[in-house]
Amino acid sequence: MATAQVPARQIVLVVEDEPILMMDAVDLIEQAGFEAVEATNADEAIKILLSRPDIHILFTDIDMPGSMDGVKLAQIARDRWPPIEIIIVSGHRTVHEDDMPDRGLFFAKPYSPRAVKAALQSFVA
Amino acid sequence: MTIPPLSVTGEAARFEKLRNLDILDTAPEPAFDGLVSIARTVCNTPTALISLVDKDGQWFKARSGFEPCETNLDSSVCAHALRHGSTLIIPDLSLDLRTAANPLVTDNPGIRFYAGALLKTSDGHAIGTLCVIDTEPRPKGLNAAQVKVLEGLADQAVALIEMRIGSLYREASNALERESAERSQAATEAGRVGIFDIDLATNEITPSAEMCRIFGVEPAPAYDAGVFEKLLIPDDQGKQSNRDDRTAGVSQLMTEYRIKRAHDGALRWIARRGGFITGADGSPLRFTGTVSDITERKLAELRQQVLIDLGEMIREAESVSEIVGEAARMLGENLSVSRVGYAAIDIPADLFDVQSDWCAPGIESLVGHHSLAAFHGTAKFLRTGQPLVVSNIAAAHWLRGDSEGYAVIGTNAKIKIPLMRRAQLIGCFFVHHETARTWTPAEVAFVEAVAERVYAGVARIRAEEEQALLNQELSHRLKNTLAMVAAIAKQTLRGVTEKEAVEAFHARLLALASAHDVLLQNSWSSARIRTVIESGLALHAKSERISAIGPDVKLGPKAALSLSMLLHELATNAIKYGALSVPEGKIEIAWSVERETSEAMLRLIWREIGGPPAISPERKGFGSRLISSGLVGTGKAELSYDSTGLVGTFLAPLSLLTQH
Repeated sequence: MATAQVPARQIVLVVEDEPILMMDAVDLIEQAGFEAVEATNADEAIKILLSRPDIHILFTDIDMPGSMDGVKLAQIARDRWPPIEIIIVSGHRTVHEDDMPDRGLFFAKPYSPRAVKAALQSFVA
Repeated sequence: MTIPPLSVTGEAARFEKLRNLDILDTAPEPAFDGLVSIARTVCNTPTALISLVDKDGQWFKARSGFEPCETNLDSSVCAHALRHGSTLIIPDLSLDLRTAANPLVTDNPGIRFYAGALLKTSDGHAIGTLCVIDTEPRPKGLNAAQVKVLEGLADQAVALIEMRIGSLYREASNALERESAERSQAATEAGRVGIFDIDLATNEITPSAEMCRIFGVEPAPAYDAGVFEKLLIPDDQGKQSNRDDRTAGVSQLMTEYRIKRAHDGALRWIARRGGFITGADGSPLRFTGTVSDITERKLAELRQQVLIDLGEMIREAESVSEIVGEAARMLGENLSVSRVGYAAIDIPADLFDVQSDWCAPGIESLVGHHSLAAFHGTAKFLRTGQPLVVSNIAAAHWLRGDSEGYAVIGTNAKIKIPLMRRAQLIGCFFVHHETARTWTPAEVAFVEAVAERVYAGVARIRAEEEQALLNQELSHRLKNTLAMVAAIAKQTLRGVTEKEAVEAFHARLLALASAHDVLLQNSWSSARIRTVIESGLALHAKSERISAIGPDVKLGPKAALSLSMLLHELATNAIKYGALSVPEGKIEIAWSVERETSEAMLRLIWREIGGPPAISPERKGFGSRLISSGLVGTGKAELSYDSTGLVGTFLAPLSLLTQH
C-alpha cells in the first residue's frame, strides 16, 4: 500500500451537552487545525476514550447530565490516560484548584475563541 | 342548629394556644372549683362553669351544678359569647334567635338564662368563658356589680391557667419554694455589710456577725486575723492586708479579692474598705473597716463582658459552627457547667442533631444524631417557645419521662432556649450540668441573651450562604446564556464576510461576562473601580502596559457594567489604532473625585502614550457612539486626538455611579 504519509491531525474529544455550544466548539477546534470527536455526556466520553487510543485532547464542559460531571471526567482521564491534555470550560467562575487535574486548563464561559485556539495549539507545539 | 365558624381569622391560632396551655382533659383542681362556686353564689344561679371552647366541642375545667363535663358545639352558648367578643348576657335563651333551638334549652335541663365573661389569655386569645346559668329566665340579667365580679373571676381563671403552664417550667412547687428561699438569701448576701476591727498589737480581729456570715466562719467575738486572710484563693493572695503592712501602716485601704467561703467552699468576690486608727504619736493602733459580698455584681460585669466579646465574635464569624462553638465555650466557662451546645430538632423525624458543643473536661460530647424518643417531655415543653429551666431533674415530676434519657447523657440541671421558625420548634441552645444546681434568674437571663445573639448570628450566616449560592447559580446561568448567544451569533453569521464585525460582537459579549464576574464577588451589589478596570483590561493587554491610579471607589452594578463596556471599546480601539498597536505603547488611567458645583463628580482620564498620533475616526460605529455616551450614559465625554495619542476624559456624578 502506497499511501502518502500525511501527518495525522490531532484528535480532540469534545464533551458538551448543549448542541449549539457543541457546534461552536467543534467549529473552533476544526479551525484550529484539529479533528473533533463529539460526546454529549461524561459516560459517553469514557466509552470513546476506551475505544479510541488516538484521542489527544479532552475538551469538556462541567455541568452535564449523567453519572459524573466534567471535573470528575477530567480526573478519571488524567488517571487512566495520563498523556491526554485537558481543557475544562464552564459558566462557573472558577474550579477549585484541588479539583483541577494536572496540566489542566480552565476557561470561563463565554470563552475567548482566540485564547482557546492558542491553548490547543500550544499542546502540539 | 348549625354553628357558623367562630371567626374568620385566628381560629387556628386560638386552638393552638388552647392546646399549648395543656389544660384540656386535666383533672378538676380546687382553685378553679373555688372560682365557679364564688360566681354561682354572687350571681345567685344554680350553675356556674369554666368552659373552654375547642375545635369540636366545649370542655369544662370546673363546673358547679352541671353534670356533663363536655358538650358538643351545637349545645354551646359559650361559643356565641366568643363570637360576641365581650361579656354576653342573654336574659331568656328561648327567646333569643341564637339559642332558641339549642338542645340544652329545648330539652333537659331546659336552661333559660346565660351570662358569660370571656377567658382572654395575656396574648389576646379568647379560649372560653366563665359563665353562670339558670333554668329560669331573668329579664333583668345581672346587675353591674355582678357583671364586674364575673369578669374579675374570669380574669382570675385565665391567670390560674397561665400560671399552671408557667409553673411547669419552674418545676414542682416544693423545688420552687426552696429555690426562692435560696434566691432571697443570695439577694441579702449582696446587700449586707460586715464590720471588722483588728488590734495591731495582738493581730486579733473582731468581726461582726455579718462579716462571719460573709466569710462562712462561725460567729465568734474574736479570731486571729490569719483565719480570714487564708480564705483568699491562691491567685488573689497578697491583695488583702497582712500583719506586716498593717503594723507599718501601709496597707491598701480599698481592695477586692476572691475567697473560698469557709463553710461551703463557694467562690465569692469581696470588697473591703479599711482605715487606720492611730495613737497620739501617730503610729497605727488598729485597722478597721467594712467588707461586702460583691459576687453578683462581679458576675454581672463578667457576663456583660462575655456578651460584648460574643457580639464581636459573631460579627466576625464566617460559619455557623464557629458561632455556636465559640458561644458554647464562652458560656460554659463563665457558668462552670458540664456541657453547652446547639441541637437542631426535627420533630417529624423524631430526631435531634447536636451540631456543635463545648464540654468541661471529662464530659462526653453529644455531637451527632440522636433519637428524640427519650426526650419527649422536653420537646413538648420547648414547643411552647418558652425557655426550659430545671434545677434538679429528680424534683421535676413533669419531666419524669425524660429522666432516664438525661441520666444516660449525664445531665441533671439544664437550661434550654428553643429556636422557633414559623411557630415550629427547630432547635434549642442547651446548657447541661451533671449535678443539681440552682440557676439564678441572672444566669437564666444570661443564657437567653447568649442564645438570642447566637440565633441572630446564625440567621445572618444562613441568609448570606443562601444568597451566595443563589448568586453563583444565577451567574452560571447568565454566563451560559451569554456563551449560547455568542455561539448562535457565530453560527448564524458563518457566511458573513465581515469576520471583523462578528469578532467585535463576540469580544463585547466577553467584556459583559467579565463585568458580571466582578460584580458577583460582592453579590451583585457593588464592585471596586480598580477591580473593574483591571479585570476588564486583562482581556486586552498585559498588566505592565496599563497603569491605573485613583481612589478605590465602590461602583454600583449599573456603573460597573457601563465602565467595563466603555473600557472594552477604548481598549479595542487602542489595539487597532492606538497605543496598544505598538509594543512600546502604554495606557494610563487616572481618576479622582472632584467637587464641581454642589455635586461630587468622578473624573476619569484615559491617556494613551507611546503609540502613533491619534486620528479622529471617519465613521461613527457602535464603539465610538458608546465611548461618546460616557460613563453611565451621562454624555460627559471629551475625546482629544493628540499627536501623542488619544486622551479621553469622562465625568459622572458620584451619586449616579454608586447607585444600586
